[in-house]
Amino acid sequence: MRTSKTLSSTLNAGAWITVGILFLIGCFMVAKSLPLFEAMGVSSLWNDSGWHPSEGDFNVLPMLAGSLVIAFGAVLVAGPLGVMLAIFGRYYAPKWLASVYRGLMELLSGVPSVVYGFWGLIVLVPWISTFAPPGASVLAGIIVLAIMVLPLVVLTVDTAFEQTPQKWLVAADALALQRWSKIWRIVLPHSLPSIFSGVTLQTGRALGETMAVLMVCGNIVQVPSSLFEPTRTLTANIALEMSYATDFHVNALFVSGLILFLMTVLIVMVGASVKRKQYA
Amino acid sequence: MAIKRFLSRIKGNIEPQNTFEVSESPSLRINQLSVNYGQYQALKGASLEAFSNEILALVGPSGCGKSSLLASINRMTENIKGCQVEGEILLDGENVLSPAYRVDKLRKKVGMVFQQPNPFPLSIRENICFPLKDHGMKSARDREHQLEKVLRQTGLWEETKDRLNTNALRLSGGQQQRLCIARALALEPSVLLLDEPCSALDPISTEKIEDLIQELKTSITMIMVTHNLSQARRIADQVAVCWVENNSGYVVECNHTEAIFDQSSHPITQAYCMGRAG
Repeated sequence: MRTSKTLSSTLNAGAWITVGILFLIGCFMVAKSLPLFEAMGVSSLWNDSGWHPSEGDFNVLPMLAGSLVIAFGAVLVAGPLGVMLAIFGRYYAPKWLASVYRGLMELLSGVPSVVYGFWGLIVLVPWISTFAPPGASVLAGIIVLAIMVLPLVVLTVDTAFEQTPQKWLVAADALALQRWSKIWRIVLPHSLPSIFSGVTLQTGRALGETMAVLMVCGNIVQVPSSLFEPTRTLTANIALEMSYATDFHVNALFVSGLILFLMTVLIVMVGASVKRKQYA
Repeated sequence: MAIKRFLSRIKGNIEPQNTFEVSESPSLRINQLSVNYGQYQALKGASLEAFSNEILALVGPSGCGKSSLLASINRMTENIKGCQVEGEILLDGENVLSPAYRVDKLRKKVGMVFQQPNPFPLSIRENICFPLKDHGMKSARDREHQLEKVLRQTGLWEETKDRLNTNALRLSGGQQQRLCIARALALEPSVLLLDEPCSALDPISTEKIEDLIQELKTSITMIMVTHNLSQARRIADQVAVCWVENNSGYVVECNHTEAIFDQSSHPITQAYCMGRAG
């Protein structure tokens, strides 16, 4: 294929710079984490009695649990709901509604997360506290985060639906198949890998969300034993403590960052590998 | 004006011959069919008759409205935005274009096979059984029975009976197209529409499909769009020649295959079928 050398080398350079920056971020975080590992060993992350920075206890497990429960909980709610909404928008809604609907989803996906968090704090938390005080809880975090990622899930799923080969849909119409059979047997199976990879990427986003979660989760460091208990996520922990942390405490916060970084990389890799399988 | 002249000619050509060779009434009659896409008229005032146990081929250059005509018969035109169909298509005496005629009932009676083979990305078995189930055939035994029947009809049984659960997309192009024909046949249609069913296939697969179509005509009315005149000559019983004039398509004449190719007095038919135009 004929191509411009300048263009392709510029693009290549851009790609490598991105990879390089990512690599440097990783190195930096490892370097900042190392002092803690050298002084106390990696096992202190799960063997320490708790998260008491002033006493040199840096057990991150409760916050890791909080992060995972809230992120996966949100995706577990938003995933199926998003698929249903996308099916409605594409195959059941009247034309005018479908276009309004899509516009709305695009708009919602652009709303800053702090706005969702604020709504959660003002509306959701007091409501939950009426039947399960204190209200600021895992449940509140899951709901706020689910609402936040829902528009993006809907848009990803809708894009996946759009890629269903037209010739299958035409064949289904020519056979007068019911709409639901067409969706269930043809559109959904074909879109599943894209849906899965899209939802996986949203899990990464949910895991990294800080502000909205910080505002509604109560931020008590503990492994939550029910949906109504407060918890603190890794991201919220960094945001809350970075301003006053010193010595090993700083290194411990970088360890939290490193854990988040590695989990996100892992999630993106899983999502990408599913997508690749589809086109293999 | 010209169209009126042609119409009278078409009628003149069909009616006397029917009385000689075809005893039953036409199973499909198209009266004054026009297809519009917004301002653009794809087909103007087409009238045709298709008889059971016969293959009707629609031939003509690109843009002459033959595919629009075909798609009007099972109302696939409804899928196209801005497409309007006027006129009458009588199937067993009922006008299928009337809004009261249910589309699902129509498409069960009128099957369609497309230019590109389009089996579902399911197993060979499910390609046949899933539409049957969707149309209310509840018993798995009945479905299996129908599966074997249509696969035998299309000559696929021997080739696929040991791998019915493999994905249909693994079949060759010709096999895929025969599977699509089988899928249409499974719903037991009385009319089968074929939109250039061989144009994406190699010569050997084409021959198989042509043989298949000729075997099937004993039970089903076939209407086939083709660009391939020698194919029309080989397998069609009736041929309708379509043409474009002032950007809109119309039917020049419709007659027995030999009459069209050897005895037509119409200048357009002569020119097109002799390869002098189109």
